[in-house]
Amino acid sequence: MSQDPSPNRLEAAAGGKGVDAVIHERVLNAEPCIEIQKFSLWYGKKQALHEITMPVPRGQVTALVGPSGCGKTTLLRSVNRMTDFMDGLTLRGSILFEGSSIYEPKVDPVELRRRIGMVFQDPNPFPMSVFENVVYPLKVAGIQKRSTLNKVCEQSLRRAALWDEVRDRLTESGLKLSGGQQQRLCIARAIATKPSLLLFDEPCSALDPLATRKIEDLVGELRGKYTILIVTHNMQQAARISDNTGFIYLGRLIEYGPTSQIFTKPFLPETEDYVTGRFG
Amino acid sequence: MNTKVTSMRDDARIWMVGGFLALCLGMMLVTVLFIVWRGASAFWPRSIDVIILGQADDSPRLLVGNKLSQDERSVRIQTSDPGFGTSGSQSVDLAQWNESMRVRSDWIQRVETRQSGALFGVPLYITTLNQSDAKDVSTVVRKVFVETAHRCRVILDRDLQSTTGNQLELIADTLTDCTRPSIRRERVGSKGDMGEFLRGTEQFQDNAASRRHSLAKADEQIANCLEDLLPGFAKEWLLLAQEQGNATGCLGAIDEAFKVACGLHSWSDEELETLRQQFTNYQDELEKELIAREARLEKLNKRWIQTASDAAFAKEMQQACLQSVSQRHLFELELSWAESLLSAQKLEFAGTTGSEALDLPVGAIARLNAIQRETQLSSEETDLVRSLWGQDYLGGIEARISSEQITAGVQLLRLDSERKSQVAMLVSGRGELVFPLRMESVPLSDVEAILAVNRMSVWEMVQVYAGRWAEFLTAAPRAANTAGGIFPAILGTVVLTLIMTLAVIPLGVVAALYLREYITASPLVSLVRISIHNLAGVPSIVYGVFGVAFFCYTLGAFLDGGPANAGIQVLPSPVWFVGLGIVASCSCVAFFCSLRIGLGQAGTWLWLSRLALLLWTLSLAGFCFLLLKSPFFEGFYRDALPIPTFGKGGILWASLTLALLTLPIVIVSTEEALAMVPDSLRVGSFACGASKWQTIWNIVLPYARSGIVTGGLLAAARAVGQVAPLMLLGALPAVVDLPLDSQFPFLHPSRSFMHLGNQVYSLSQRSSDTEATQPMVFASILLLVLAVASLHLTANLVRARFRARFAQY
Repeated sequence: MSQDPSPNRLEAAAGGKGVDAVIHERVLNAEPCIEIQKFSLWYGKKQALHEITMPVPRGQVTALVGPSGCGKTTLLRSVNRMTDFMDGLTLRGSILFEGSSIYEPKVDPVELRRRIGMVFQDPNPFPMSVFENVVYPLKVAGIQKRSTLNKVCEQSLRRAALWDEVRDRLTESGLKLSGGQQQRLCIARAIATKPSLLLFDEPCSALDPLATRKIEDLVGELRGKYTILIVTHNMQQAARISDNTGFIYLGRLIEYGPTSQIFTKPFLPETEDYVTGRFG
Repeated sequence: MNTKVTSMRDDARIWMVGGFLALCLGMMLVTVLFIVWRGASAFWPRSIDVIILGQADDSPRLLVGNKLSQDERSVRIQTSDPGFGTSGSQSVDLAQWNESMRVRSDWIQRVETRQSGALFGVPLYITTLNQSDAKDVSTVVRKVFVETAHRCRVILDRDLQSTTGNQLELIADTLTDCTRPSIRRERVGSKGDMGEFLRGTEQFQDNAASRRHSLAKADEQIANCLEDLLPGFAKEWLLLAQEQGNATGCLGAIDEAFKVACGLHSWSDEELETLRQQFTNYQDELEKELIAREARLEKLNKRWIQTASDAAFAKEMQQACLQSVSQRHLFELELSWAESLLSAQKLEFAGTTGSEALDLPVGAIARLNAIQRETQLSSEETDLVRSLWGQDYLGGIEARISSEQITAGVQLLRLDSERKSQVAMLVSGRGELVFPLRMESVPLSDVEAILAVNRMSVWEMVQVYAGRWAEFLTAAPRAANTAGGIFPAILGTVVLTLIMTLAVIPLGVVAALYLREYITASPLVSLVRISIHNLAGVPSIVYGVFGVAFFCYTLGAFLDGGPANAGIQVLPSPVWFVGLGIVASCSCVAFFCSLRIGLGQAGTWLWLSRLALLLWTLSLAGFCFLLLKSPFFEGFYRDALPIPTFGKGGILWASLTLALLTLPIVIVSTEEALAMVPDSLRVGSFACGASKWQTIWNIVLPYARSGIVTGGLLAAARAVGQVAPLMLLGALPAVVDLPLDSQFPFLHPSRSFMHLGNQVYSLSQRSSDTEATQPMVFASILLLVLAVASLHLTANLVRARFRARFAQY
């Protein structure tokens, strides 16, 4: 653990200086699914991520918290190379997924994304039937066998806790479901290819509390089966569902450790200020 | 207070804006109403008028036909013009025109022919010679008012008589509404049937009598009108009275008929007595009537002199009087028709009884010679006439019967001797005058319908109207595009639009996909986009010229007869083979490059993939170049040269030109549709591990489908309304071979075609008689507007449905 003598990292970050993150040993020692190593990212000339180093432990739920616009979502999207679709990006450092760097030229990003599921802030089911929505990732991967598709569809919907609600409506348009159902449909879609990593980009921010509760329960159920990286700006949610929490501020990782510690007795007073709502 | 002032000021502006809006809407509404009204009313059967020109003088000009239009100087009237092979229109000076001189006669009928437009007149006979023609009669004669043309003559060979008995009944049934058809069978040399003659004569006499009665009534009316008029009208009135006196001439006709009956045939005394009795009775009746009328006239004359009243009232009365006078003219006209029919009947009777030749008086011979000159009878026909006329008959008839009436009779004989199925009519000659009456015969096969329009009930008119629309939509044009249908134009338009749509949608969609999904924004892309928008504004005739130059004279000529025919310099054959080798090796390299990329990992071989693309493009360009410059290609239609097959305007080239013309529309609307696809869907699809193309194919295109369909519909709407490029590219006002027919290969891409828009142009501007084509023009316009409107409506519906369906995004 490296302790920075500078009294306030937030002020340093606001001043444009680099800061060293405080990373708890428990997350460092766990077996990583993703290793983010000195990863920096620029939108044109504006630096959005500053040398972030952060291992994500396998099979656990890791939450990224921080004020709006701090770079959480950018970091998340860097993990499955959704950044490819943005123009004028510059990257430095590396991200290792299952031990291999994903930004190597040899890596096919399409292939990579099949191994990483992603759920977005707003539910975005495709304008097709529920069934087609769920098996879409399989179809684009070239799997056409009907029995496999049926099996995977049921399995995924069960795992996404949606099967009981839509088992009779598989041929209906995915757009006819309610917001919460749509989001769970998106989760079912994300897990259809049995990825080892799931990325959640503020999955509940567009949902009502009841639907949020269901999604949170679902995340709890998926814990252990998948490595989950979730971005949220809801402190309570992060506290409720995550094993580890990373606090990001202005593109810099400030503190990263087990959720219980971050929310009860973080090393840094800045983190404490943030998680208790005194600032941010 | 302040707010109130502001609001008042605003009120004024709102009123102004609203006023302009109302103005625009009003203009649009007027246009639409005009089109709908003119289009919908185009086929309504118009009543036929007898138009009496000039005031009540001795020889009024009479026109028979439909009033078409009126401007500040003249009135146009559609009349028969059999001389020119089309129905003609004639303009009448407005000074001569008087609405009250326009009257309707139930007698006049309209005969629509396939070749020569409409004839207005009184049908005399419908002659059929065989069974198939007899069938024609029953279909053709929709509602003949055969009181005038009182019978359908079926002349049959003796052998056929037994087999066609049913046929005769059929015709009889067809005509029962109208009259009792007197069906005459051909008899050679047999003696006349007294009963038949009596029946026929009776009928004609009835006709004539009823006309005379009407005439007398009209006179009475006129007399009543004149009672209170100023003395200034006395002279005019007297003229009328004199004319009315001519009616007494009718009496003579009866004498003649009797003489004919007596002179031609040796009847039994009993029969003769009956005949005499009948004629005498009728004569007495007429004489009594005449005497009574004279007395009345005398009385009115006296009253007239006594009367003097104020000017305004007199004017009113004048108008009423004029109307009566025109009525009177009509009756007079109808009387002359009746008399013509009567004389025709007499002649015909004389013909059938085959009376022996008699010496003719000198006056009659001179008369006959005059007739011969007028009607250009052959010497045999003259002999025939000579043999037909007994001395008594001629002696009596000479003074009375007019040469026109004799001409009519001779014409009838001539028709008989020609043995053709015809409709014989008395028509107004060449749109000029009704007097002298003219005889026209129309082959029955050419007759489309005979309509007694003025006698029809509203329901019958609706039937005719619906029938005309049905014909308009399903039949080919006839009578030089003045009648019939425009089915070939509808077919041409549909085929043209379909080929155009099939060509433009793939091109436009791919272009839009590339612009929207693949390349990133740059000044060059903006330039391309601006160019596309500008292309949409290029006048369509420019596209037409391009189409002619490129498709017809280059590509078409190349297909017809190879490079030489298209004016392309060919390469010497060694050079050509070297070129072929280069292209072949180039494409081989490209092929192996592509293979390598396919096997290797993506991303690694960026330069290689670019190289492959470059090589493929080069190979394709080289291939096209070699094809164009080939010294070995001789064309597919060399045998037909110098008549071009594809090297002229045809439906394929027209469609492709229209596809170019509408390409910007499809590109722009597809781009709009693609822009409306939410990015979250694309991102979601990418996150699922879909490649770019998979995303486009599975998510973007289905989502944008409605937008693309909308674009296609708008493009079709634009294409349907185009005329200018089509005029250059093979749209003709009439074609024989349709571009789509039942002969292999069904679609003939090189053929010329008809097109609705072009039809409107050529009928209204290029036709020899634009007045006569007007109904067709307006009906075509209505159809065209409906087609465009329904395409736009469908496009909007599709768009609305699409919005509702994806309301979430």
